[in-house]
Amino acid sequence: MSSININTGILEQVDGSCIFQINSTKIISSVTGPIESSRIKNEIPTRAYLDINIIPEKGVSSTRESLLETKLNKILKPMINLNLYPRQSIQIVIQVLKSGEFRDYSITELSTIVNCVYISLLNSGISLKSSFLSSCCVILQNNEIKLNPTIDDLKSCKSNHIAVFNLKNAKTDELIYCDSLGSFSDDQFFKVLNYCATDIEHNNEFIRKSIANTIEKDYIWKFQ
Amino acid sequence: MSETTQTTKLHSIRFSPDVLAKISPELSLQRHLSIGLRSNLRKFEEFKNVSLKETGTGRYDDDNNNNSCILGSSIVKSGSTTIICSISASLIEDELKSINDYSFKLDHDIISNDLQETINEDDDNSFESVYVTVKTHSGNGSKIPTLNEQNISQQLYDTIKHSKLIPSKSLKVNLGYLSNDEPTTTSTTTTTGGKKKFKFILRGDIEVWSCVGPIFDLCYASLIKSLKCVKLPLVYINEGLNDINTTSTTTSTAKRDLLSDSKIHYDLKLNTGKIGWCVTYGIVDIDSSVVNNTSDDDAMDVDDCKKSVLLADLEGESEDSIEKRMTVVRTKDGNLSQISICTDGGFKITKEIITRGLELSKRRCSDMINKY
Repeated sequence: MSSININTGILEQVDGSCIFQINSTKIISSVTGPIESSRIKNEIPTRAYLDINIIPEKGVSSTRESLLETKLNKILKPMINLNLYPRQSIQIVIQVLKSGEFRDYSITELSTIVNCVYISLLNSGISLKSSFLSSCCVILQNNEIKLNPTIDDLKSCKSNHIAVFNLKNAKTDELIYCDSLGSFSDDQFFKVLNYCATDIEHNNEFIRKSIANTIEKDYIWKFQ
Repeated sequence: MSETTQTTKLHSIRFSPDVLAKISPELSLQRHLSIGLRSNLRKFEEFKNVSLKETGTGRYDDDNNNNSCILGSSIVKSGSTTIICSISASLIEDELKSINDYSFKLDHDIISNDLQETINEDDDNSFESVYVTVKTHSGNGSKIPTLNEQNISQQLYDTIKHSKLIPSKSLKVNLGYLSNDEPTTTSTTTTTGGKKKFKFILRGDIEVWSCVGPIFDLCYASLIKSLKCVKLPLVYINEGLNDINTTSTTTSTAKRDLLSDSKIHYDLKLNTGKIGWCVTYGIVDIDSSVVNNTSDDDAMDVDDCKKSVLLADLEGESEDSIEKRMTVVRTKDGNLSQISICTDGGFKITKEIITRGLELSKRRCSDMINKY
């Protein structure tokens, strides 16, 4: 069982924020927007520009973080109603607090970032097309599929996988993004997608409750 | 008051296909696909021809190239795109190996004499990769790597690393001594038994000319082709300098002069079963609403194409706009090494489309893998 810890609305100077921890990976993210684009080249006439910045746990950003930003952009672009905010920017800043994996891997980090940014976007009130969540897993040497791998699992695994699904009526509906690296068969790949979909549905129950609790505590909704 | 009415007649503007592809690539793509054509006149699932060759400019490929630092190189051509990949290597001290060394631990009191600890120096489970720099010559004159170039470099590093193609022991340096005793100078390969361990770090430089679509597939192919012909040099310690070190009190090993032989070399050993071929598809949703002005004859084709289709080897501006893509790297042993799928928020990516993509990759891999 994976332990999830969510804390929303922790930053006051941004529109939405969240700290998301799953096992040994911890991420804080903030969403600001829609705001005026800081550069003219980012003013897209038909839709909003996504300005994503990932800051690593240690050191400065490298090509690894650039690739993560591109992957996150691919995931978020079809999920946010960008055409509602033409010529504006949505700024998303992600700070990795605990990586929980070696730098040669990025699945647990990316998976946690996706979940963290999803809650931050909800917190900011930016229009989304649908809910979406991510899950990651590895195939161990004995061909067993393990969800939410630890650092030791990653070290000894045959392959590592990440999948992002959107949700409809609390059920996974469509594959938004997947990335698999290592050595695996076709059947194992489809099996992994099913495992991730089930895990996302399971995690969604907890996340929904957590978001509902946050809204209940919000003073705006209290009429006493 | 008299009302004046002015009527303005709007004329439709006609664009040639290549201009429309620049103005509205999505519309241009839909217009082509609705009549069962691609702008490059290939079939939907037809791949482009790829030719792979060694350049023969490496350090050990020619006797006159002894000063070259290129250890393996290849040239890949596909359509108008040409890619040249060259592999060079650096020597670094393998600190982790040195620290794990039994004698090192003994000297630094990390372990006691009594401790019967067996240390496995050759960790068979670790694998290395290539640090790649991709440069696309697009005529803008910028020397700063673009985001796309950075991403391709990092993706190549990740794919090679996780495919377990290059075992760490293949890059381990077996240090030898240079013997100058005999008139005909020869180098011997006796190991030094020193505490310092060295290994090669591979670097790849990929230059892309006349890029007309996604280049990850071709960059991957050129990198694998280059790696297959990499010849690593024999490395030895300069004998004179070694004598000084043994007699001097300042035994700074950093001053050791490592030389790589200009003639003696050995091939880089790869996990041949993990050599793969990469294919990238665009997944396109045929949208009948944008082709309402087609003739009745074409309407038949539109009805047939009301589904997602795979486009192999994307080419041209209109196809480059496809964001829903699937990248598959299939290895020689029949397994998959990488799958990456991303969507654009259009139609669902169905299991049938993914299965079709995997089947095509299997056929393409079996056709192309022998070209390396």
